[in-house]
Amino acid sequence: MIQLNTNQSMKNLTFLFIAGSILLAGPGRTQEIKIDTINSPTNDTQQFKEDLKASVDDFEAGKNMNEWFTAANRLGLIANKYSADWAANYYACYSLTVLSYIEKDGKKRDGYLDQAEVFLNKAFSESKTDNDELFVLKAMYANARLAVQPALRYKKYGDIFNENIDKAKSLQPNNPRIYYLKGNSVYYTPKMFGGGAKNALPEFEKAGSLFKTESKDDIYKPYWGDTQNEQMISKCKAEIK
Amino acid sequence: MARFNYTLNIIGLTCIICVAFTGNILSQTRISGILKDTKNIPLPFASISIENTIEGTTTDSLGHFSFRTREVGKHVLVASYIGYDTKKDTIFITKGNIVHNLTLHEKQLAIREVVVTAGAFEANDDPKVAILKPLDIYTNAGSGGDIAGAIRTLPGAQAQTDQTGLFVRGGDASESNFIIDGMVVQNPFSSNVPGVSQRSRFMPFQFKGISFSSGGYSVRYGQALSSILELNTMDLPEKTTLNLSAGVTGIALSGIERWKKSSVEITGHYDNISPFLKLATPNFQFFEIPTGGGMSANYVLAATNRDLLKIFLKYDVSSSGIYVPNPYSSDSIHFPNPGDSIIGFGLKNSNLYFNSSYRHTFDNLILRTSVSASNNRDNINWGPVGGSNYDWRIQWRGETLLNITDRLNLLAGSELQRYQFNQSFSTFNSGFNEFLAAGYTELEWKPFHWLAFKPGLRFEHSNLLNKNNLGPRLAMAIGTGNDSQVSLAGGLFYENPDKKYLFSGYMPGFQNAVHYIANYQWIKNDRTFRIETYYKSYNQLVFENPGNSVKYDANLYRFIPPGENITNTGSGYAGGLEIFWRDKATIPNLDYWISYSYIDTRRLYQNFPRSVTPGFVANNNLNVLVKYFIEPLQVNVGASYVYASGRPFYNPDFQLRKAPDYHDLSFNMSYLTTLGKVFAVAYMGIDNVLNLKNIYGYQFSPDGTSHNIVPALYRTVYVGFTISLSQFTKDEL
Repeated sequence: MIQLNTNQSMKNLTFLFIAGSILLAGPGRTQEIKIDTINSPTNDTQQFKEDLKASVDDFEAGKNMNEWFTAANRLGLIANKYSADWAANYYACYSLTVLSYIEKDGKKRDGYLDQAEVFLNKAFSESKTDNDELFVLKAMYANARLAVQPALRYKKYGDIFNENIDKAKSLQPNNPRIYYLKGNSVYYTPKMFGGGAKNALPEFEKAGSLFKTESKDDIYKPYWGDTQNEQMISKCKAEIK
Repeated sequence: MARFNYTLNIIGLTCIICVAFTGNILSQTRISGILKDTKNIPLPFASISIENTIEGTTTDSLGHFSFRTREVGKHVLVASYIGYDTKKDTIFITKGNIVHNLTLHEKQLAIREVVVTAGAFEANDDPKVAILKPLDIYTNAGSGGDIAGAIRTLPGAQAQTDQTGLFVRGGDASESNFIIDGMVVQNPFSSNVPGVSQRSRFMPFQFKGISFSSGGYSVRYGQALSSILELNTMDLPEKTTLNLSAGVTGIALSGIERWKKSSVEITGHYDNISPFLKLATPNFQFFEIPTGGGMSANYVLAATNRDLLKIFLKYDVSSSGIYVPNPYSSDSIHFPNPGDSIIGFGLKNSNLYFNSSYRHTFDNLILRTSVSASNNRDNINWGPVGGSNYDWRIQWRGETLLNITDRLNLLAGSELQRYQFNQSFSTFNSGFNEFLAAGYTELEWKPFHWLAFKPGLRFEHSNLLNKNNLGPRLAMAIGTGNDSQVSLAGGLFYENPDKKYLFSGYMPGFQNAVHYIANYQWIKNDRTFRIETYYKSYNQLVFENPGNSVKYDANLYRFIPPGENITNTGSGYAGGLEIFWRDKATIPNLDYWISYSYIDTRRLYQNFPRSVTPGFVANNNLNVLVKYFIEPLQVNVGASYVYASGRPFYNPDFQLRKAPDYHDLSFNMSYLTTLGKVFAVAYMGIDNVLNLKNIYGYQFSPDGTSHNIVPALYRTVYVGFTISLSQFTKDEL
């Protein structure tokens, strides 16, 4: 249950995914992208998957605005070109949602999320099966909308968050991102409403053990969140002490 | 990026690939430039690409971009940036370097639709119209958690009163209607005790939305010359909970069971003010300590997301005995204890209230229908003289809201109301039966996002008066900027004559009021400014004194003897200016608002010998409310200051005596905490902290002697707590 109904307590949510995105420093990168023109369809699919994975990994490894935006813009281009692929839309939505947490201006945050919503809907319509990852993403998207104006939005988007978390759980109870998002929601809920580090830690720990079993090889099986989750565990433990 | 570096590495390794890639690089074109907005400010981190490819780049922190492409010929260069219109420029790619600068136009901000607001104050979760939230009302210092108490802090309402009800823009209590889910509540307040303003029967947290209209309200409602207070009950509650509250005036227990598509809420309460009286000394003596009890049940069913059914049932009883100033004059027809300035007033009340509503949404049509009923009995003792009031009411409403286009809605509906009032006093019995039928239609037309019209028409037939009326109304709003708008509203509003005339068998015609309202409202970033001005003319008021032959008597309970010349020749006016300012943004966790109302009003009605400002009107009303949340302590503190200029009172010779100004300073605080799955709030409040000996006004005896009307209590202290246990599942433990 999220009851994020004070402005103040929710400001922290802005940092929810920033922390998560600050990862190990990678090698210096240029801003250019170069995708070779491939003629064979098989190669094209293979190339698309590699490009998508590389862009997602770049986004996850980003450590400043420049790197995050570079990767996110590229994910946007990939989703526009390969719009019939649910995963392309999934990651475009994911990156914009994360960017919305980083942005401080409320109008811009909604701007990112308006765009993210387009990709999200497309991802749902292109997915042939009920995919728990899409419901997880929708829950995260709802939380991001909520974080823009918590006092006004907690009711509407809180319900959407819970609904989609529940749906994801019913499809795949071992998806670690369910517990990672729940943990975040609890963590940023005011203590007086049953939130805080102590109550959030069990969720993050559950997510942590499930992340251990995840492979990071297949871009069609999202694997983001492990590092962010580990950071939240340390943060919670530090606060409890 | 990574792929490019990788590509370069490969170049150094493999000859064949080397050739291929070298060829590619040689044939590549570098496209570079700067991306700026129309104010010449560089746009960082924007996406630059060639349409229908994934070739592109991101601008750097200075808006520069540069990338290579192997595409040649005519292409479209796309620049997109959140908050700006995407720009597409056709370019012709040849070998070599291309420099192409781009300028983006800022997107028109999400267009704010105007909303008609003249006359209305909204408390709900819709950010477009809400100036308050329901919770704000519950937590105001000085309002004591009472809905009416909180509404009195808003512009247009009299800030303080010794009488029960809301007094809005020069209107008396009978001119305000209390509506729940579209249905009139006949007994919204606890039964009247002379000289003591009673609380409303309903608790604020039962409602998700509260709308207070101080004039110019919708055609859905009638029979109110001044104001409508509209409350909407909660839809499905969030979760299963169990709540216990206890305070110095009683205890309450409630439980909510939430299923997937439905919920049931059961509440029960017992009130006894004995502990409260230990904390405060009332200005009245009790011969029976007020006690009461009651239960309510509430069922909500959302069978599909297009249906919503609500059923609400409430039953309460109360009993009290209080010594009050004797309102009867020795020459009135019944004079319990003539000459005594104090008289015992015993009251036993039972009240049953039922409301059910159903809503179904079709694609372009919403259908709503509701039924409500109430039954109220007061057994009264005025000193040794017994009496009773008995009334009931049944109401039906059906309406459709047709969504013709996005910018055009048509509301059409009708309502039937049947009610009966009976009173007996000593050996006298009187009563009346009314059957009101009404039909209404209202168009909501928004030709542009900045312009809205809401014309409407309401027709009413009164079976009791055997008369019809037709009330046209119009409201409109004009946007004056992204955050501000001007609203106008007006119309014709009708109301039956006061009950005391109907009891005595007089059947004068409808009274009416014409409203003209203009307001300007500015809402931005949690700050609200609003200024409203109005003029209201009262026509065909019931007047019993055309020959100036009736001696003035201020007794609200007076009996209208037979054979009087009762006509609709009274009239009056009210005009005023109201200002509201609220700021939640300047200081974190601090929320304050200031509401000021000025009114100029006079009326000639009932037994007034000439046109005067009535005794329930203070010309100046000021409310200042402050709330602060001390986050580390989880403590909310609040304070309120209320000022009302002295009200006019008239002696039997109708000579004016002005009461002193009224001041009140109140504090409250609450502490919020959780113990596991238990959520707890402890609160305390002090009303009239300075223990000012406010005098509301004067009550005159027929011989000209007077005594002061004073509040039931001066300084008041109350404490209490609420604990709430929510449902938990095993994995939450």
